[in-house]
Amino acid sequence: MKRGTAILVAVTCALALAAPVAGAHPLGNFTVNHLTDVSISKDRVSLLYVLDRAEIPTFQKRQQTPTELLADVQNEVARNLRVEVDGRAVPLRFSRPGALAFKAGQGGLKTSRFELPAEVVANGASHVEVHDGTYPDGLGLRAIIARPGEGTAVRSSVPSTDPTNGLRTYPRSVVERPPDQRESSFAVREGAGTLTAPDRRNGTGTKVGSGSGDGFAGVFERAAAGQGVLIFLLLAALAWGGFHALSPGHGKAMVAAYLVGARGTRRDAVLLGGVVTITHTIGVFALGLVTLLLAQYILPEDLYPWLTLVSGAMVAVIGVSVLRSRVRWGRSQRAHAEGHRHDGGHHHHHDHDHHHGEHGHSHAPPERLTGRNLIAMGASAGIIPCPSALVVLLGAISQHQVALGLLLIVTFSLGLAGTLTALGLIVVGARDRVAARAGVNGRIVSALPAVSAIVIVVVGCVLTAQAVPQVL
Amino acid sequence: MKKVLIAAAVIAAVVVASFASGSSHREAPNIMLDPSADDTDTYAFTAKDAPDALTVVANWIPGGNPANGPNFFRFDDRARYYINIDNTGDGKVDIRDRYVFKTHVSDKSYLYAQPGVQSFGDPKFQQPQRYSIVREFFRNGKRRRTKTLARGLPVAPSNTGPKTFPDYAKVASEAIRNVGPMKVFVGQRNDAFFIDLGTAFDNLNVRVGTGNTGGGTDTQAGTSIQTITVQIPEAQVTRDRMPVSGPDAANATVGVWASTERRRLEVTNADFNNRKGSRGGWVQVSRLANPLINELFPPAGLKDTYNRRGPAGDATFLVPFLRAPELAKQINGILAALNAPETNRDDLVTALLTGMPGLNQVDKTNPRPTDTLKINLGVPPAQTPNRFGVIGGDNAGFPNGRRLEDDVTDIVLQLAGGYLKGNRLPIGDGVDQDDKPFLATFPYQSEPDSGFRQKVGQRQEPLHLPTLPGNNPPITR
Amino acid sequence: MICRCIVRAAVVATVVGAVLGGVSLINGASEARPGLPAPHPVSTAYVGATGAAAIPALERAARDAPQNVDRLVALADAHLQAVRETGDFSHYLRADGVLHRAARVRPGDSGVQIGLANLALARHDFGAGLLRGRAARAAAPQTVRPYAVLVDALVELGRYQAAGRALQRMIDLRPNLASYARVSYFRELHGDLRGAVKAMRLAVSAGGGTAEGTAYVQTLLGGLEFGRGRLGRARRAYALALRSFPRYLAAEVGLARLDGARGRFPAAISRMRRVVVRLPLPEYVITLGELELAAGRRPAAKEDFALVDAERRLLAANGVNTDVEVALFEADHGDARRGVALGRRAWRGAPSVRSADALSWALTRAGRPRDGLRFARRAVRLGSRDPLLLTHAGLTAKLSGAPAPARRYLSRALADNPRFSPLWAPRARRALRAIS
Repeated sequence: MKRGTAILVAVTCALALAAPVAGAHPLGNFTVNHLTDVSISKDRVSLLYVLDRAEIPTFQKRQQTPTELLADVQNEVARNLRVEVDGRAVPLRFSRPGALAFKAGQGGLKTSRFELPAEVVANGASHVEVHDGTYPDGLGLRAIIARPGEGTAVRSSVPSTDPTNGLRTYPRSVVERPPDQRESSFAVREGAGTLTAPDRRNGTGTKVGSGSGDGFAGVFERAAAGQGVLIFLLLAALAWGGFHALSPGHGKAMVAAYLVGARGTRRDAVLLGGVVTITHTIGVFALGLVTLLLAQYILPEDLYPWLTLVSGAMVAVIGVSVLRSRVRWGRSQRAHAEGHRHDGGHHHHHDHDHHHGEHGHSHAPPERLTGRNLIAMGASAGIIPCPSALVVLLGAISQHQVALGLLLIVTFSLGLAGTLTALGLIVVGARDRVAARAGVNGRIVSALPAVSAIVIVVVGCVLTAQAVPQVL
Repeated sequence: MKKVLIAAAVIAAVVVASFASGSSHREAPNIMLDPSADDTDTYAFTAKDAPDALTVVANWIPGGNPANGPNFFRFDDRARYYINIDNTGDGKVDIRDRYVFKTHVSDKSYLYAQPGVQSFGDPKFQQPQRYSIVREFFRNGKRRRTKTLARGLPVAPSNTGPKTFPDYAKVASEAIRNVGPMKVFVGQRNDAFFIDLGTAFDNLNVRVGTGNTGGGTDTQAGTSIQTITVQIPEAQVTRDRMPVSGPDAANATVGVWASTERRRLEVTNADFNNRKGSRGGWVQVSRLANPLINELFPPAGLKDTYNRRGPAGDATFLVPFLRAPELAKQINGILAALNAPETNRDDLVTALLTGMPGLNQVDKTNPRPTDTLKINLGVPPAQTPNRFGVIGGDNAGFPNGRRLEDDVTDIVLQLAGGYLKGNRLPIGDGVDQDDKPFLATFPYQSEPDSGFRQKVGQRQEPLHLPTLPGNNPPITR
Repeated sequence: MICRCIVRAAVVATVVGAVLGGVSLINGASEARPGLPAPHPVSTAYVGATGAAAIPALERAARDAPQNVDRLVALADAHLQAVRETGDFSHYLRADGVLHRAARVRPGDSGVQIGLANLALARHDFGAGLLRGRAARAAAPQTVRPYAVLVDALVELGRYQAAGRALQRMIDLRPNLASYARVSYFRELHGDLRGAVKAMRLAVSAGGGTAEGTAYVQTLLGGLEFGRGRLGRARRAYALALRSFPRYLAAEVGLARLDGARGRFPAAISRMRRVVVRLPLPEYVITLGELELAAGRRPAAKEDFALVDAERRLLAANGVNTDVEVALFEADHGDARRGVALGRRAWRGAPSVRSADALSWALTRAGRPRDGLRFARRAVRLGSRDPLLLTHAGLTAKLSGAPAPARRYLSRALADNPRFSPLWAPRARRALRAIS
């Protein structure tokens, strides 16, 4: 029992502290890295231009709004990413808007990552060349990656593997020898969407950092491109949400701790999961809405630290109040034992589920989950939307797939809540068993809530502390 | 985890370095390259069209890629270039010609030249370089007198391309000058040296025997060098100031080498402190006589030392490395059966440093090992030169002097393998001749490829049957 | 000769290296593939490529013989040179990896130690640079290369006498671009601008086999001429640097400073902006910001300084703060007390005239000119004629109530080039007038 608590506390703290700590840009704080995905289909060449600016270049552009930033990138690409189809330069079309995301970098700075889809019309092309002349001065990686298209058999001069996952991660092999690929050529025949490309030497390696490895946006993109099935997508969203809940910083530690301390029931655990689902969905929607409305003025990523701060503070406050009530309860119990009367100020909802002989006074911890408490907890757990969920929503909106996006968010939230609920249920079950076995040893059982209250406070403080430097 | 930590540490280092490289600390270049002072090859031979003169070709500034604009190659105006002659055999210089350069850079434009340069004096040629020659006479290593032989002679320009020089040959030919009875050419030429630096040696690793069947790639093909090519009448260089009567004459053999000196400085300038002028002086930074000596024999830590010293000290400095050559060990490392003798290699010392008895010892009575190109001026030029020179039965070639066509890589490999001890190895670098034919007349080295249509390192030697230096005993007398 | 290759230093990596590499291939027979011609290991090193351009071929060569230290050293050298050519510091990272591989094979190798010394110097770990340099010299006492890092480390550590001796030995061993350029800097530090120019002209004339090397010394020559107030010559030197290495950043910065000195602020600022877009080194950004300030564009300058501050935060996040530039920046445009802390650290780490200057100026700006004066005297102890350093010393002396040295320093600051900085020259002049 003792050991069980200790392990739980340790795990909880570890999870809370392991929240991703931003590191330096693996290729250096000065770099401007870009990569172009090229896929050649029968009637078109589709390009996805990805630009990853490290801390300093991002900072240098801090005066610009996201719209301006995206417009700048589009201009640069339109001017300097040259596509030649059968020897003829063909202008790019930007039918879909680009996306921009900021990520916390080193020293409280941000890095920025742009994605800009583009297309050129190329009916029955047999030879395609792509020259990347964008941002020629910047330091950093430049890559062109070949992707299979539809109805073609392409032989590419550039590799088809991208060890950086679209400039999201930089494995050591890439850091040691960043590609500087600005030219590419493709021989195209009719075919069944096949691609022959050279091997990238040393294409594998250990991850060095930067980037959370968020794959969900990618899944979505593929689905939106018509290559996926809705069911699969929803399952993926559910699973992703479930897994995402396990990534640190998602409040489940707090929920679990709370449930342990609060002697919640199974019903409470399920209810809490539901609240989390709803608040998380609302949070994403609200943030998405706010983002769309305020895109001109505020960067969505600027909201994250604030949201983290708010929810962190909420958690801490709840933890403190729980702790306080517990301390008072403890004190009152002591006072009671000494034969003194209860302090009149005690207006807690004391549940008298444990009686002592003829006194008939409460010696039990004071909490039972109230609806208010539960909602506050669930809200603070759910209100921090995961960036990947937001990316999904914004991506969906940008691609005029709002309904799909909403559905996916709900599913994602369900997955998230499912995991949290399951965790809660396990904890509740474990506690009951522990309590049952501990039986007589009521002191430990009664100390448990105090410990968990401390855990809650610690988690809240950690969340707040993480948010503070980002806000300042 | 460990990997992550290491990565983090290195990344931190990069970030720090990126900040650190502001002007915080003066990052003076560490490059120790000094091509403009770097002797690359020295040749000394008797030319067919000038049998009574010593012809010396001394090359500097290696690996000139003709398309190197805007940085073209030129001699350094602040260095001194020497062609040295030892006619007594003690390794000390007896006569040396000093070449000193002066470049005029137009104030109007920093361009090398405007299009359509017709002659050296054409104002469109905006960076003409000129030179003067001073001859210094020594006795027992002490300078006795100097004499200015010429001033203001033109240096053949870099062949930047047909637009700049519509008739490069004509402009370059202006650089052929007569200085008294001497003939001189200074400027850019095609590199006469040929070797496969890459494949040849790697082939030695994996397939013994390929080196003598061609198939190598001349990695020097198409590169250019800066040359000082001079034809000096025998009587100006021999010990007794007399023409050479024949190969057995006492004055027949002279030792030749090239060298470069740079100005030494006092770290705290003397004339700043006491206005007495700095105790400058000159330091020899490069010397070259026999090919490959410094590359193959002294250990890495002593290669600078070689360049600082003169041939007089070679008896103690170089001889040990030739008597027990690392190169022989390396050959045996390839295949023990090659059986190159690794010690007591007096044969190698004789061939490369002392001179071969009866052929090219400067002082026949007291031959001393010095790294000079020893040429017997009495040996008439061969009508059909053998690329293996002396060991190919052609006494007019390396190591009796060195002709442009001598395959010194193969010869030195043979010598190191113990050819003179009867150990004839089927090794070589697979390149047998230069990429461009030499000229029959002065200045012998061919015109440099232009920057416009240069092809560097691309010539492939055709495959042929295995060749061996020849069955004649190498030393006939 | 075989190694007419460009690179005497790379002789090792070439001919002998190739042979040795071959030997090691044979000995470690697993890698030998009889019957297959091996790829060309070192060919492009022979056709004039250096630095970044030589890296692919050297990488191939190193891969063919992974135990060949000389090839690894040549590759690391190419990476170090590539930093100079491209400003891409990630080459340091790669050089680091290559050198550590080489160090596992032959830790005591002189070339390995020199490479590691260069990395240490780049990280401002001058003490480590000195140790590595000494190890390199011990391994190859007759060669000149170890002296380059030895001299650099000693100068940065403020051990000028020892540096002078090592440098004299270096140039006695081999006068060339590397030693001439160091002699020039040494003379400059001692206030001998004329001698410095003389030495730097020798460096320029010697070239160095790399376009960047020549451009670098041309740029330094431009800086010296600028310091002597010969703006025309300075411009010419910068222009020549840009000719031999187009778009060379340091020369662009020189031209911008020149424009600034002549009061052509729009030209200077737009040139500097282009530089900063390409490579926003703090030093460059500070230059830009000070030009903006001099031109009266306070908001723009504020933006620039915000960038420097962001870079300072990055630096702090990486746990290192030895940069003298940043200390001076904090003193002038940031938090003077932080500047004092940085300056103190710099001084403790390397008591050079430059760190003395940074510390003294930070102290003065933090309201402690008397303490500042102690270090200002150390900053000028070599007889420097660096106008900014002298201005700092002069203002410090003035504020600490020592008009005589203040007058001396300030008039010396304005003597050589009265327009040395659009921001500081007027301040020095005003202060001098106020005293007199």
